[in-house]
Amino acid sequence: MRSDFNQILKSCKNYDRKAQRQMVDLLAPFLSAVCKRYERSHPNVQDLVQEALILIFNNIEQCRGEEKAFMCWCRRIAINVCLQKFRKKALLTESLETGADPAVSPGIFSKMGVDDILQILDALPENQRLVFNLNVLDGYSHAEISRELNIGESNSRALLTRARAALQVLITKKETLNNEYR
Amino acid sequence: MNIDNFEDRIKEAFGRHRPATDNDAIWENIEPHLKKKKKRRAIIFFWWGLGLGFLMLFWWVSEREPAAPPKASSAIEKRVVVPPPEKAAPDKMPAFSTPEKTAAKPRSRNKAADTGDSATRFAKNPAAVPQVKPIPVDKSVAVKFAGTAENSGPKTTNAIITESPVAERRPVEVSKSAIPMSEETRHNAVPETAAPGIAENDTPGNREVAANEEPGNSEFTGEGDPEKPVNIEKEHTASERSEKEVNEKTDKKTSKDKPKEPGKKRKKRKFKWEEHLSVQAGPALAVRQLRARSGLSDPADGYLAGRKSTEKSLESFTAGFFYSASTRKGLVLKAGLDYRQTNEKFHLAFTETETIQLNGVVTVTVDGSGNIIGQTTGPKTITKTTEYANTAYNHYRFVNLPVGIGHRQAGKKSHWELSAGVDVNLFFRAAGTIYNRFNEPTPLKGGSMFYDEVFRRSTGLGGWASFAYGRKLTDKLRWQVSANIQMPLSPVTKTDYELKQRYFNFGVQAGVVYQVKKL
Repeated sequence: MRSDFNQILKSCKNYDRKAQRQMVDLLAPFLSAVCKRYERSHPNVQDLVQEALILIFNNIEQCRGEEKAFMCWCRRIAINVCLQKFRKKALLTESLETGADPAVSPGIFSKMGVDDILQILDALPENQRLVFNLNVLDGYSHAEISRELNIGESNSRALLTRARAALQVLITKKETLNNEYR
Repeated sequence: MNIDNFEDRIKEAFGRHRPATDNDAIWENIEPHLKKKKKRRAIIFFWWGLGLGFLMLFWWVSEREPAAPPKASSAIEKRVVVPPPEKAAPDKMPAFSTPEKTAAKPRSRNKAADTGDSATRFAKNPAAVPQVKPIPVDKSVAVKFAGTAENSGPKTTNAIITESPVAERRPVEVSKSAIPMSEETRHNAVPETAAPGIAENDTPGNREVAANEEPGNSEFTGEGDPEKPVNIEKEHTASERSEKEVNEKTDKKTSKDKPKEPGKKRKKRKFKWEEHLSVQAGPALAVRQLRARSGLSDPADGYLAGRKSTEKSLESFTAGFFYSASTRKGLVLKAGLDYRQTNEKFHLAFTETETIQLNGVVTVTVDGSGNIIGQTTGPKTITKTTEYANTAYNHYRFVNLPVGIGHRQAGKKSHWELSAGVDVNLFFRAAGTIYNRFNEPTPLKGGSMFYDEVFRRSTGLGGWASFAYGRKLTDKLRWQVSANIQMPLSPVTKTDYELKQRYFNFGVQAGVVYQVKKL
């Protein structure tokens, strides 16, 4: 499997169309998962994936590593594409008040699927969602986030704290709603 | 469970998450934007090769001319080989060369007796009759025989064969034997000449003739007596003397004849090149063309305006050297290497506003002793305004290989030249800062992803034209000023980039021209 992937990767570096088509099958779901975390609207996710794929295929020579390194490189490109789109929009603004730390019921996590989690993340203000995604899910440091989003490091930390607090509130609300329906 | 567990849970969920995608639709959309196999390097090498080939052609043409004189002499050589039609019978062997004929002279005085003798001898001994064999004649041998056709007279085949060893031992230069010997020379040469030495003049051509020698031929050497000793040294010097005289006369004749020969006239019509090397440099006015590329779905109006407002063209300069070759009539062929740099200023200023809401205690009121007597609590909105300003200098560098053709008019003191052609961009690099698609200042670094998205490595073909005027400084050196225009045919940006960026240059250059080779 791994050797197959590396063979396709090698052919892609030679701009072989068939190999590129095969690579689309392998990469598109992965990139789509990454982009979904950053972009709320579904049609925009496909645009982002396409843009990322074009960049990946046209600059594939720059990626020296094999499967694992290549996937990391692709993820980074996808994130950059998402951030570029984000930068195109308005400047970062704070819109959500941060409240107290409510206790979170442990039972709720086991019942939540990916779509539920995405729904909760989408409910976050955009800047908080970005910082949360970058730091928690993609492993960016605050220094890197500050560079990417053109904000201060302390600001990044503050946004992450608020995102976490807001998530707890949202999860609690979701749990309450679920209980009411029952 | 706290939030950290929630984060782990999210990571785990997203790690496995692969949403369904419409891969066919994605592929259809991205395929037209994907790069094809690169041929850039091959193209660069092709143009380099073309340029080098062009220079080699010049070199070859200029190097060929000095080799002309030897060719002229070989032309004479060829003509001499043809024997005069009235004297050379078709069934006869070629005539003897001068010294050999003089050696045969005593016999010719008693010709009847001689021929009678040999005829009798052959009659007595038919086996002794030498066979007439076609001698494999190479150029040198044929020439040896050619010049003395008129002196050979009505010699029989036998006589020719017997004389052939003598002839082969006396190599005579083509141009000398080509001209018939005068009566006086012949007369002086007659009593002294005889069979010359063998070893001294044993050339390959001679050896070939010697191979055809019949065993009985020695009987006919000298006076026809095989046992008669021959004073080789004496004969050799005598023949040399006569040869020398002949040479002097024939040389004069050939030199007189030269201008009349048609082959020579043709040589004169050849192109002769005057070669120059010029080095020049000067300022230029770079006119930038920056416009949205038509046919792209995403209109780049906002981006275009952003880039136009932040980039200001400053100046440009060029430096280069040319090798040119011109004919007497003024045709000029040029090739060279040209460096061109355009400088721009990137200036950006914008304001960023950040609004932060504070909760909790906002203001505190204290009394004289420092005790808190009152406080107000949030939320309070704070607006943070940051002003950014950025200034950078952008450099666009080009290295071109111009090749062209033109007309040059040169007098004793001054010259002018009008030329035009194409230039091939060998190298292009941009450095500095420009706006990216999201109106953010982005540094241009060769090899970075952004750079590769925007700029090409080589800008391809362009056209140029130049008018130059110069005056003499020394015999070989002239100063020169020129006005030139350079127009690239394609932009410096990539075809899938939404803006087209091109630079037209109008420049003035000054420099010196060194005359490498005169007409």
